[in-house]
Amino acid sequence: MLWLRKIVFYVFALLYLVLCPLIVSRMLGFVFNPAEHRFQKTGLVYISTNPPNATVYIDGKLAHQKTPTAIHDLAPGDHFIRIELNGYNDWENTIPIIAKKATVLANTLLIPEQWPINKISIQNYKNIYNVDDDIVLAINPLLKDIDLFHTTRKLKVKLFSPNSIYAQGQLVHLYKSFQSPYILLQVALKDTLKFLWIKTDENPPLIEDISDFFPRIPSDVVWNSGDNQNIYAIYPENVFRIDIQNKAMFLATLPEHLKSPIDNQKNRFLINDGNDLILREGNIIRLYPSKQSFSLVEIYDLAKSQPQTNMYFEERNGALFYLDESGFLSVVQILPYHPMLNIPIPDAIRIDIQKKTIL
Amino acid sequence: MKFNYSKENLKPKEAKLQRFLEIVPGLSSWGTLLGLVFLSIFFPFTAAILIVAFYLSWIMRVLYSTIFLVLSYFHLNIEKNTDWVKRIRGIDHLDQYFKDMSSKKFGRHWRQFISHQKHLEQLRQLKESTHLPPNSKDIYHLVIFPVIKEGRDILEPAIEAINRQSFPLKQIMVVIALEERAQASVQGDVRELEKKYKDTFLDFIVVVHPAVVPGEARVKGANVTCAARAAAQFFENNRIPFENIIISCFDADTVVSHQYFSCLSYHFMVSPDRLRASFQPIPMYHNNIWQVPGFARVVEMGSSFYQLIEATNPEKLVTFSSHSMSFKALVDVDYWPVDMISDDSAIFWKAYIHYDGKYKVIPMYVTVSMDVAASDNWFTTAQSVYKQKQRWAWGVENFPIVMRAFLKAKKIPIYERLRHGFKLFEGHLSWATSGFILSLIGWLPVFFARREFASSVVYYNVPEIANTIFTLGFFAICVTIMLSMFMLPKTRIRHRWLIKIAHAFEWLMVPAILVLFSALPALHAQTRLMFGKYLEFWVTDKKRV
Repeated sequence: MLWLRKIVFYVFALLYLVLCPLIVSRMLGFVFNPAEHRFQKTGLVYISTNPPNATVYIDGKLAHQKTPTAIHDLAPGDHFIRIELNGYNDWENTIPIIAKKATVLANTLLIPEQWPINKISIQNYKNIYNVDDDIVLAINPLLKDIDLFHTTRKLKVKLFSPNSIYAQGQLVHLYKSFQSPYILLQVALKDTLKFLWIKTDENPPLIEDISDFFPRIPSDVVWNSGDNQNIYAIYPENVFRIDIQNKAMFLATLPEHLKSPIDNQKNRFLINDGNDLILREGNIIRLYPSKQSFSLVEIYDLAKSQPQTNMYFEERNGALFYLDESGFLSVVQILPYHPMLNIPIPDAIRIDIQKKTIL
Repeated sequence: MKFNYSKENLKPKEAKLQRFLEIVPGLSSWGTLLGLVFLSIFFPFTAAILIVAFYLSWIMRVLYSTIFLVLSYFHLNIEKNTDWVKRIRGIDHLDQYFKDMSSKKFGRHWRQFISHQKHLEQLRQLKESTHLPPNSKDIYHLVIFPVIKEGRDILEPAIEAINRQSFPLKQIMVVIALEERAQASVQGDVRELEKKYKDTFLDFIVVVHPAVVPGEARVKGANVTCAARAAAQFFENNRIPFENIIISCFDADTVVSHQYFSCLSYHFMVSPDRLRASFQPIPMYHNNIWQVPGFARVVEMGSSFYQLIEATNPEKLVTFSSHSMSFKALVDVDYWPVDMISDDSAIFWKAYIHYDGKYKVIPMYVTVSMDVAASDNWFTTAQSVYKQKQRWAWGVENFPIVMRAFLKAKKIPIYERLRHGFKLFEGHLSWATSGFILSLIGWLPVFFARREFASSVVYYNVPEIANTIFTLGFFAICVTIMLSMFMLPKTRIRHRWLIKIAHAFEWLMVPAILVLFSALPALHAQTRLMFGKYLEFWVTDKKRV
């Protein structure tokens, strides 16, 4: 046994001495080119698509693995990539490969031949807002026509029941804070102005009249999404902190983090009021990589939507909520596939698809 | 070479060297682990290269070990039905027996054929040597069981196993090395067993080791040394030469197979250098293996497999747990160290240094079965297993002493000193680091990737190479699972095949076990040694239903 052990040991040791440098070279991107009888530096491209399992062709040759995949041993220079998936338009582009580097096409969105659009309301609305993480607030001037849509629970809830004393009121202004389940409605009821503080994630929503704290109409009302006690009423000359739970009001200064204004540009406005996921320019929708998980994607003429209304992109489900041309609440599934882990794709080489340049 | 195999009573210069060498293993292990973490964060390319080189060496080692695990298992199977008594009686008439054996034919009994060929080779070597063995009727066995908290339920099955031996019982002497500080109930159990077995063997004596002896630590080595000295007196009084005695020092839960002493006698007889040898059986942990949680079963099967693999490499084999050796050698080296916990491996190194490297361990393909460390519930069992592994890993205490001896032992060839020294060092280093690198640290370069590294081909290639290597590792695990299912004892319950299938899935815990019950206790032991916080002897919990 001892001699056998020695022989096998030396064979394995020899194997290691040969394999180790070869594998390490391969790991570093060096590949033996038999035509030139030398090792050549190579690069790779990592492609993941949404949805996955798409077929990849590189320079017309079929890659053996489906997306997500890393295609190795590519000679430096431009390579033409085509991605195909049944039911989706082909994705084609020329990408540069650099020696020893990885070019990343992460979460490349494949555009379906037909967008799967669903109408989810049977009445029309004037505008929508997102409240909390998964609630779409669809509003109309008359309070009894305002609805809450719980997108994950697929549940529609009336904000005011028809029997409510506020049901016939008119909505004057809506105040909300990003990712807060609370909203503040300024309402005209008969000849009086009311301020209603509403917790939307309850069923039915909890409504509290806090009009006593608003002797005048404020220029704005803001609050922190994590604070369910204090709201700030901003007037031109001063700011008041209203303690909702203790029913008290104090002269205050506005906390720094509540000061930054929302950036609205001409002809190019933020959708999802405060959430920087989507920009809309005419009928072009840009999904922005706000949470680092998706690369820049453009969708042309996707939603024939009501002009000047909000859209809400729910990142968890990859669905875009908007009001269609008739004002009905609709949803389009933009991202059909959601990675299990929302781990940022490493900040590798980014390609500007339009300019075809490396960012 | 005369050498004080101890860390105590050293001259100042020696004490400084000892302390330095105590720091080396722990420092190397921590240096390796923290160095890789540092490289992963700040020099990920270098870390990735080192990690891939390590992965490759690991898989080579795993595949290499798997080959010899399978061969060793076959060897164990081949010798399963060997009639050792017949062989030792034959050696008593060596010339005639050799002639008879040489002319013996085997048809399709390939197992017997291989066993016979090996037997013939051993007989040939014995004939060619000038060191002929004593007659088998003149060979005596001394068996020592150290006892401190093991009750009759643990000890009696071990003695019964000796009672069932194929070797004549009147040539076996049993000594119970009883600690004076053992509980009264334990002492009572031992005395009852003494009465019961007094006339069964050559003799059955109980030697009580005093609770406090100057110069001794509270370790097993001190207890068994006390017992061995008493037995030596007995043999001297009865004019039995030490050269004819083989001592077996067993843990109290050691249940030997019925062929153990015949097999041991055979190996003693056919080894020309029998007086400078230890004899290592294959330790199994079958006594209570179906009564312990799955993770403990996998841990101990892993220990058995490690010994099976080691058995194929006698040149580097070191004694482990229950084993046997020439009593003459034991007396020559002045018994076990009385201040060390790892007495089982320390006695080998003590003898190796004493005989200037002319001492070896002879593997025996016969099993001894012991208890898996077990306790009342899952958590306390995990604690017991952890402590037991830490105690095993405390074998690192031999490293500084052996290295000090090697620096002086000019009669031991430099190559042998380097070979043993490297194995001792590398063994402890990889024991404490491999599990962490494989399970955790190997992923750090990818985890800590910054822009430069994340945009490199290396970032994408490392996980792919690692996956390929781990897939190969899975093949080795599958082989291990199969062997494990063959080797496990039968359960006494219905649907035993279902239990065995469940056991196969228990091997999926290997990555966690590698960290929690292998690397972590080893690193813990090395760290303690590094900081001079010496381990106290801790008796493993044994529990049977």
